[in-house]
Amino acid sequence: MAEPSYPLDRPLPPDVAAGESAFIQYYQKYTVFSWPWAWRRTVVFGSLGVMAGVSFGASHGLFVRDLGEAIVVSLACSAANIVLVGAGPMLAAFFRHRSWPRRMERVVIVGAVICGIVLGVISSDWATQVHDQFMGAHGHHSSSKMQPTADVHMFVRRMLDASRDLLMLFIASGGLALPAYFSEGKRWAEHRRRVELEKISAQKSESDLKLTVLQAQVEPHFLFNTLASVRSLVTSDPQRAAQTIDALAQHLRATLPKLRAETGTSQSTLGEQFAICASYLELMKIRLGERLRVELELPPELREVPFPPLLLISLVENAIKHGAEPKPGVVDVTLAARAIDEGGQRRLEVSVEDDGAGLTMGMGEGTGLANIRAQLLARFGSSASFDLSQRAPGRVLARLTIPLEAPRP
Amino acid sequence: MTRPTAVIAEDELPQRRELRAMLAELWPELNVVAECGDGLAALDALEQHRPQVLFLDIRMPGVSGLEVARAAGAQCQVIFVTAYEEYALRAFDEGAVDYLQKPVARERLSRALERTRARLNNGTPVDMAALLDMVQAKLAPRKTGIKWITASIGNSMKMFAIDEVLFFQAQEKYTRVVTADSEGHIRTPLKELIAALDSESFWQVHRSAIVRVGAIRAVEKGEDGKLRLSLKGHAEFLPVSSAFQYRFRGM
Repeated sequence: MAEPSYPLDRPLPPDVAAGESAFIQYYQKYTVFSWPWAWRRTVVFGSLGVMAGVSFGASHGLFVRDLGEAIVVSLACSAANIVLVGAGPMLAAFFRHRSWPRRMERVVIVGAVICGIVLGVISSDWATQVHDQFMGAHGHHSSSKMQPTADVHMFVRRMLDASRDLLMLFIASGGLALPAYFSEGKRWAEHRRRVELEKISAQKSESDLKLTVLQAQVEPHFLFNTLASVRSLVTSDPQRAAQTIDALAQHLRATLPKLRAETGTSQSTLGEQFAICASYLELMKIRLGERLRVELELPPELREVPFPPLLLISLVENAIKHGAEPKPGVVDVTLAARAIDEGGQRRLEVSVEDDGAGLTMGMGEGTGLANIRAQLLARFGSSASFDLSQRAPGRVLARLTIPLEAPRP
Repeated sequence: MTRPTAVIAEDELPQRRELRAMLAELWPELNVVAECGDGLAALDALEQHRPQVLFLDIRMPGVSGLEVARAAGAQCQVIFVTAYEEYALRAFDEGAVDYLQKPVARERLSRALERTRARLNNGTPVDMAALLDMVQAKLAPRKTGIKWITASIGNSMKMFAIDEVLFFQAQEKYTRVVTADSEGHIRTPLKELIAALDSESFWQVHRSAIVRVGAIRAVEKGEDGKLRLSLKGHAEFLPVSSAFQYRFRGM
C-alpha cells in the first residue's frame, strides 16, 4: 500500500479531511491523530468540558453557599473533563508521529484511545470523590453512591446506565475518530486518483493542441520536394509520376482531414495508421529511389486494434528525416507491430527501426518526439512507454508500448 | 573560348535529370561535368573538376548544400535549388548567389542562368561565407529548449526525456546522466549543460553536479555538517557546495 508521504502537521486537502461542520473543521481539517489535530480537538472539546465543569462547580457552590468549594469543584471537574477528552487523542498522536509500520500503528492507536477512556474514567472518579467528600462533610449522600443490587430490575437499569456512560466516554475520548482514521487510506487513494485525473485531462487538452499545430505544419519542404519530383517524372516517366501523385493524394487524404477534427478524442485503428505510413513511405521510395528500403510487419489480428492517430506517422517521418535522408547510401526502415506479454498483461508493441544516420550524443530539441511522449502520457498515463535507443551504430529503434485493447466491432 | 563547366548536386534522381535536361535546352554551351547524389560526392566533384558553376540542393545526405558552398568559397558561381521556403533564402537576394525554388520554373531558371552568365563574364565570384551563415541560421530549427539527452550506455545509446533526468554529475572525462531507473553518460561538460538547460528546472549545486529541482526530495545535513540532497527514486546523495548553499537557505 502506498503510504501518504504527506506531513502529519499540515492541513489536509478538503476531500481527504474527515468532517464537514465549520466548528468541528477547526481540527478535522488535519490528519486524524496528528499533533495539530489532537491539540485542536482538545481545545474544542476541552472548552466544552471546562464549561460543564464550571457550571457543575457553580451549582454545587450555590447549593452549599461556599465560594471556595465552588472553585475547587469547578477546577476538579474541568481538569477531569480535559483529561477525558484529551488523553486518548494526545496519546494516539504521540504514537502516530513515531511513524511505525501501519499495522502496528493501528493496534497501538486503538490501545491509546482505550487508555484514554480508562484515564478519563479514573479522573472522573477522582472528581466525583472530591465532590462526594464535600457533600459528605455537609451531611449529604452522594447521588452517585451505588446501592447494592436489590433485584433484577435494578440490575438491568444499572447495566443500561453503565453502557450509556461507556458510550459517552468512548465518544468524548476520541473513539469516533477511529473510523475516520481507518478510512484515511481510502480517502487518500480517492484524492490521488482525482488529482491524477485532473492532471491527465489538463495534459491531454494541451497536447491535443500541440498536435493540431503539428498537423497544420504539412511541411513545405516535403510538399514542394514531392511536387518537384512529380514534375520531373511527368516527361521522363509518366507512369511513376502518376504513382507518385496517387501516393501523395493518399497521404494527404489520410493526414489532412484530421486538421479539421475539433477534438483530439479521435480514434483510429492500427491498420489505418499503418496504411498512412505505407502511403508516405511509398512516396519517399519514389523520391529516394533505391536508397530507401521499407518493410512493414502488421499481423492481421492486430489490424482492427484501436490506435491513436498521428503517433506512428510521426515516428516514421522522424526515421526518414533524421535517419534516411541525411545518410548517403541505402537505408532500411522497418515498421512492426506485435502483441506482447508483460508481467501477465497483454500489450501492444509498435516499433520503427532504421539504420540511417544514427543518434548523436548530447542535448537535443526534438519537439516531434516530445509531442509523441506528451500524447502518450495524456492518453494512457503511466501505462504507456516510449523509448528511443540505438543498439548498434546507426541502428535506431523507436519503440512504444500501450495496453492492448480488443479490436473494435 | 572553352565551354563553362558545371556540377549538379541533388539527391533525387528524377529532379537531377530534369534539371540537366532544362540546362541542355537553356544553356547548351554549359558542360555538366558531374552529377552528384549527396554532399560528399559534391565535395569530391568540386575538388576534382573545379567547375565554374555549381547547382546545389540544400538538404542532402552527408553534407548539406550550404556546407558544399562554403567549401567552394570564391571559386565558382553557386545556384541553390531547394524546396525550402523563401523567407529563409531571402538573404541571397542581396548577394551574388542565386536560388531557385522547387519545383523549378523554367522562367526563373532562365533568368538565373542569364545572371550567372553575366557574372562569369565580368569579375570573379565573391566569397559568400557571411550570406551562408545568415541562411544557415534561418534554416536552423527554432530554439525550443532542450527536450532530450542522448546518452551512451555501454555500446548502445538512449534518449532520455529531460524531465526524467534526476541529475548530471561530472566525472573525469564524461558527464553522468542519471534517471530513476537508468543511467548513461555524455561528453557535454556541465558548463555547457547549465548554459543550455532551463534555469528554473535545473540548478547547479556543486562544481560537479546539476540537479533537476523537481527531483529533490529533501535537503539535509550530512555527517560532516555540510548540506546534501536526497533524491526522489534514487539512493545517492548529492553534495551541495558552499557556493550554492544560498539556494537552500531558509528551507
